Amino acid sequence: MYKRLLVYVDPGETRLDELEGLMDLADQLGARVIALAILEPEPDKPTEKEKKARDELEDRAWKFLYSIEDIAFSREVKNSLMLEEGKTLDTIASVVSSYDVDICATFNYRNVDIPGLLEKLNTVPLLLLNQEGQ
Amino acid sequence: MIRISEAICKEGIILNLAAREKVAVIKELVAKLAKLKLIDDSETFLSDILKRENLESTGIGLGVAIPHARTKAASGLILTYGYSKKGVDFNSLDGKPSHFIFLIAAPEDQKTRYIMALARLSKTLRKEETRTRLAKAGSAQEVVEILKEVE
Repeated sequence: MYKRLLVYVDPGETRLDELEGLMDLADQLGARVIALAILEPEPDKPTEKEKKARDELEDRAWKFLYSIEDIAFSREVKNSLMLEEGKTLDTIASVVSSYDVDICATFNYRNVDIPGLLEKLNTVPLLLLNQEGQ
Repeated sequence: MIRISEAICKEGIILNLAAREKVAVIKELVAKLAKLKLIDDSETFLSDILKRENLESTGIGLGVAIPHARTKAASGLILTYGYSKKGVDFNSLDGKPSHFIFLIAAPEDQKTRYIMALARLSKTLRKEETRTRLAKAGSAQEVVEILKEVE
């Protein structure tokens, strides 16, 4: 019934152990975890400083995604990684819709307007994870 | 910091992959590495790569696939590349075939280095310029030069 579980992560605000509960759930459901990180759109004419900062953000995002993959692999949970660029809520909603996601999960991040996300997700359930990884 | 252009095994690069299916492509790349004596136990190596492949879609979209594993069959970081003009189905979420196939392996105790290499490679291949230039590369040396310039 629940075959694809999307988790949006902000690498700067999440610890890997906070994803344990999600892995448990995916394991029980036999679902694939799709780990998604999002980069803000690049300015039209970025300065060298902005380019460097973005480069570092992307590097950190990939490292975090591959670390999630490593945890999933060790628990034999199917998984896929995605790094997208765009406005956070719109990008999450777009991925949920494009990839037939059954459950969307995330943390209570400052940059995520939860009521706004619920509205965009329409009928797809939203799972809010807490800092204890549950 | 890991530099892909320095880590890649130039002699292992295959610019016109003969295989047309995922497992066959991985076998083709592994066979080349074994022929170059870069791996001792190619069966274990292949088995560890395929084990990951069964759980993960190493096709990360944009025509890129990065089959990978930490394995006791690798004594150091191993990175090679194959290009398929026609493309190969690597179960990418975007449903598109993969043309740029990079295979990475590292010893089991080199997790940090392995993840850094995967991140660096993924970041480099997200750039459209990288993919456009790699598609036109005519030699293994040119592949290395392109990676050196874009990373």
